[in-house]
Amino acid sequence: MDPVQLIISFVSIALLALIAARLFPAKDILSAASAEADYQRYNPDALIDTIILGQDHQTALLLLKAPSDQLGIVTRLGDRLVCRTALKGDIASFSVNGDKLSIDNHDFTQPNISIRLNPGELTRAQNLITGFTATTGGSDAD
Amino acid sequence: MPIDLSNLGKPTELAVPLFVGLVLLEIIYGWKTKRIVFEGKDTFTSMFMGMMSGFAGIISAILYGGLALWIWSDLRLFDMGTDLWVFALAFVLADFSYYWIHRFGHRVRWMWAAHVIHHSSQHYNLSTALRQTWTSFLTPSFLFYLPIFFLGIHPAIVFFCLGLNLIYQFWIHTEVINRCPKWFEAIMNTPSHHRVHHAKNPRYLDSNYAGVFIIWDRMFGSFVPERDDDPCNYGLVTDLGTFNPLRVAFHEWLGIVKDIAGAKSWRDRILFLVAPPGWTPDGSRMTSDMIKDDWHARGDAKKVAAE
Repeated sequence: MDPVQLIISFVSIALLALIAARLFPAKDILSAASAEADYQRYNPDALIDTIILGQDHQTALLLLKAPSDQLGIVTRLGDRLVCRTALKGDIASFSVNGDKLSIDNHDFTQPNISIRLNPGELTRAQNLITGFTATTGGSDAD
Repeated sequence: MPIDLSNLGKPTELAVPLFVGLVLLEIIYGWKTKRIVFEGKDTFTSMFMGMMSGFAGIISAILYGGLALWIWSDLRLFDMGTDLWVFALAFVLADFSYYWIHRFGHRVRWMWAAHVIHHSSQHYNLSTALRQTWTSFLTPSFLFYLPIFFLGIHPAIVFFCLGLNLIYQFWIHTEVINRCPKWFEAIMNTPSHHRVHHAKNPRYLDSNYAGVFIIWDRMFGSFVPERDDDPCNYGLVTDLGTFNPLRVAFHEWLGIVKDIAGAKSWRDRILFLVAPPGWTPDGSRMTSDMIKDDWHARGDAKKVAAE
């Protein structure tokens, strides 16, 4: 492949992506309602109990009534949502830094997610994900 | 009249400026009309995957070009020549082979590992067409074209026709065009047919594998029409949580390696490679057939409850 052609292609791609990003700014699309709707489409058998929505609207944790051994996770990727169902052991570890809960997953395409929560919900979320963590629990970074 | 094969050129390389120009036009059209949505990072990933897939093409040519030439020169049944009608025949046969490669690409995890990249965007626009695999040379796809060389069609003609095939498939990755004329929808692959192919709605899974001619899907029972009451929801059954091109390119290969490493028997190891994506020995993940069965059962249950 001609290096000049390669450079021109790369610059063109970067420019097009930049134009797309400017003309279509990603909107705040993650709400409790959108998380519920998208997760229900992804996992139709799930009975959703409670939704813990991050303050920055990047991540939502979904506590399920059934199946009770599963945890729903909905994250925002650009202007779309991505759903996951965590089973026991799927979460590698987690840590807390201020109001941010960082979760490391055994998932090559989503190795890390984070969620910002108020103190009450942070404790609740920590307790919730401990049950799905491979190791014996998380750690406080602060 | 025979055509000089040394003047054929590479149609996909010549089409690159056209691709870039049309993506720009579609971006502007979408912005003006609000009918189509782009996402900057998604657009970058799709087009970057396309650019780098050129290297995979070079590796494929090195690995399989010699084999194709050897079959054509030493093992061919007929000498088909280089007349225009041979190009037409090669175009149809290459598209027929493409249909089966594509069908196997969705039904055999080994081949899906390479093809999944093309389906990994949740968007459907012209940039999605360029989200091409980097690893097709690791699959047995090329075997599907061998009968054409045995028949006696020169590899240069086949590769030229495959380039045209790929160019045809570019324009169908759009939501700008709703439906084409009925006669065209009946014979040719169209944006409507291909939207269905990219959708993860249970109704649409594993359908419309055609490259150029939709008649193959109609003939072999894989055709599903687009329905206005079930709008296409694009992407994978379990969408990727990243725009990182390396993770996009290799995630399914890594999944296969992990599954095979953890398998308890040789039967399971082989099936992790050749069974449909989603297959597991204990049924803990779902194949597209299981998803469709589940969806049908859910629909039947709703009907019974309504009665």
